[in-house]
Amino acid sequence: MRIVATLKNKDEIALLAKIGADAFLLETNLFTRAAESPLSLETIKELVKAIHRRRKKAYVLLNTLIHEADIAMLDEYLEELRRIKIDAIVCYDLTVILVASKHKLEKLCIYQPGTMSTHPKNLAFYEQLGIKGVTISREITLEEIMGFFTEETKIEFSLMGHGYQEMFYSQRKLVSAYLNHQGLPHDTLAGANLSIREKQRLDQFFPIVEDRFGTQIFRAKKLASFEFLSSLESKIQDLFIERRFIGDQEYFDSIKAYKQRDFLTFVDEYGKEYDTGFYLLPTEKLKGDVS
Amino acid sequence: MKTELLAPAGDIEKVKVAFLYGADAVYIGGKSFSLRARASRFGLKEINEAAEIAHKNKKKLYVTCNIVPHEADFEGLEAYLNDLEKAAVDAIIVSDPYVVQLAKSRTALEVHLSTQQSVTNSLQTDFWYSQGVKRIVLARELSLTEIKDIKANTEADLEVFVHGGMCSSYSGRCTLSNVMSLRDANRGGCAHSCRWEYDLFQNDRLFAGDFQIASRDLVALEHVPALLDIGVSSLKIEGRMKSIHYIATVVNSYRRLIDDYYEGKLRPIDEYFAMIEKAENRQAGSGFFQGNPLEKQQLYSTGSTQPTKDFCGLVLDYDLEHKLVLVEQRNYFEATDILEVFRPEGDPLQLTAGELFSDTGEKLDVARHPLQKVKFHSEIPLKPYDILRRVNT
Repeated sequence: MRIVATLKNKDEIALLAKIGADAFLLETNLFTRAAESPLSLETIKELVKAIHRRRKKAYVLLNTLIHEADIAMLDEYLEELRRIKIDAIVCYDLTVILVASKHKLEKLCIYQPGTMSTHPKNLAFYEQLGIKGVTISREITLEEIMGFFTEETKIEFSLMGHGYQEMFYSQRKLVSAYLNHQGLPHDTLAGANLSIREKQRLDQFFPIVEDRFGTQIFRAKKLASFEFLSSLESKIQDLFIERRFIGDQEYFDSIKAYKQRDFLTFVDEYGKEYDTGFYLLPTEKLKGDVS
Repeated sequence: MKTELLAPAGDIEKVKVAFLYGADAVYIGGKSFSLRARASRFGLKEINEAAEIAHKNKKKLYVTCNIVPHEADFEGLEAYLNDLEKAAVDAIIVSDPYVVQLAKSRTALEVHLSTQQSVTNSLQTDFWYSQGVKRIVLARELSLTEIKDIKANTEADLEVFVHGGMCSSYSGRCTLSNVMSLRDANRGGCAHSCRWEYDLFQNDRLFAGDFQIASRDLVALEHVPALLDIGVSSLKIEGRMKSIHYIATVVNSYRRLIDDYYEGKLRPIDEYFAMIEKAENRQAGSGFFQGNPLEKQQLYSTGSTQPTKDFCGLVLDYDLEHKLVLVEQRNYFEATDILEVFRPEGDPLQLTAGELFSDTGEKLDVARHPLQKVKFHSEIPLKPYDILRRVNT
C-alpha cells in the first residue's frame, strides 16, 4: 500500500519522503477544484523530476467536471502530462479517461468519482475502460468495501482514507451569491476560512470553499482509517491522505502515523477532531431502514 | 422530429392526467431501484397499467432505475428488468454503469442515462451512446450554448430539464443527507438537507445567520424556443411527488408553448408564465441556461409563490341529460364562487355552481371535505379530468 501525500512545494519532498510518503499528489491550477496549492504546469514539471529523482511516484489530481469548452485544453494538458512521465492521473470525471485514452494514458488513470463507486459490480466496466484503478466511495461501510476485494480484477483499489472529506460539489458560487444577495462586495470574505453550521447541529462546522469551479462543502470531522488499516492495507494500492484545511505539522504527523503504524501518538494529539466516517455507519435508503 | 414533452407522475391518476394535458411521455419510479421509491405507488401491476395507458394513447412510458446502488441493492434487479421488458415500457432511466450493461445484455429495453451521471460534454454523450445508451439526460449545469455545442457533436439523443426542483449540487455529487441524517441521497433517502437553515462562519466567528445553499426551482419557459431550435429530443419536467393540479397546469403550459412554436404562433412569453402561475410553484429561476447563476437563482426564503387560482375539484362525470356535473372536491369552495374550467385544449371557461349537492342528492352549503363527491348544475358540458379552479377575487 502506497501512502499518497498532497505536495505543496518542492521543499517538502525530502521531508515527506523521509517520513513515509510513497507518492505525491499534485494539484493543478487548471483542473483541480478546492485546491490548497494549485500548481502551474511548469511547476508540476519541475516537481515530477524532483519526485522521480527520489524514486517516488508523482500523481496529478484532475477533479473538476469537464464541460465542452474544457476538452481542447484538457487534451493539450494530458499530452504534457504524458511527456513529463506522470505516474498516475487521479480523475473525477469519466471524460478525463476518454481524453487520456487518445494519448494512451488510460492505464495511468485512477478513477475517483466521489460518491459513484459504491459496489464491485462495476469492475468489469472499469476494466473495459483500461484504467489503472478506482477509488472506492467514502460513503459505504467497511463491510461493503471488503466486498470489492473478493472479486478477481486487474483494477487497483484506493481509498481517500484520512482528512476532511467532501460531501457537496456545486457549480454554483454559493458564497458570492449570498454576498450579492446582501449587497456586500465579492471580496468581503476573501482569504477567510469559512464554515457553515446547520441550525439544529450546533457543534458541527462544515468547511466550505468557493473557487472558480463552484462550491465544495466538507464533513465537520476529519476521517481517520487507523483502526481499519489492518483489514485494508493488503487490498488497496493507494491510501490518499487528504490535506485540505489541515496544518502542516498535523499533516506530517498523520503521514508518519500511517507509515509507522503508530496511531496512538497521533490520536492522543489530534484524536478529538477525527471520526471513522461511514466505515461502521450504514445509511438508509428509506427512513427507518437502519435502526 | 418534434421534441418530446416528458412529464413526471406519482400514481396512475397522474399518468392519465399528464397524458391528457399534453405530455408525450411520462416517467415513473417503481417501488425498487428508484430515487423516489419511498413514495412510489407503482408496483408491477401499476407499471403494466401505466404502460397500457401510454400505448393506448400512442404515448411513451419510462421507468426510473436510477439509484446509485450498493452491493446489497442488486437483489431482484435482473428479474425486475425482465418484468419491465415484459410490461413493454419504452425505456428505463439508469445512472449506474453496471445497470446499463445488465439491461443491455439481458433485455431489449431502451436505456436512458440519468442526470445523476452529470454528463456535461459530447465526449461523454457519445461514449454512453457507444455503450448502447440511446438518450442522455444532461446535467442541469449547462448553458444553452453548451447544449447547442453538445448537440452539434453527438449522435446521442439529448434530454434537458426545463421545470421543477433542482439539486443545488451537481446531481449525485451530494451527500449532505448521508452525513447529517444517515439517509442516502443517492438511494432515495435524500433528506433535502440543502433546504435547511445554516449559519456562515468566518474564521470561527459568526458572519451570517441566514446563509442558504438551496437553489430555486427551474422554470425555463423563456428558453424553450431556443431548446427547440437546438433540436434536443426531450424537455423534462421534474416532480413525481407533485399534485394532479400541478402536473396538469405545468404540462399543459409547456404543451401549448411547444405546439405554438411548431405552428409559428408563439405568444408573448408572459402568457405562458400566467398559465403556470395558476398552480403552486416554489420560487423559481432559469437555472444555468444563461450561464452560471448567482443570487437570483438561489432560495433565500422558503415561501412558495401563491397560485393565482385554487384547485377546487376534479370533474368525474357529466350527466348530459340533466346537465349535472359530478366533482371530486380538492379544496374548499362555495356555491357562489366563480370557477374556471381548465381543460387540455381551448381557452378556460367560467361558471358558477349556484347550488351544491352531495352525490346522494342532499343540499350542501359548501364543498368542505377533501375528496367529497359534489354535484351541481352546469350549462357548460364538462368532461372527466376537467379541472375546476376558483377564480381569486
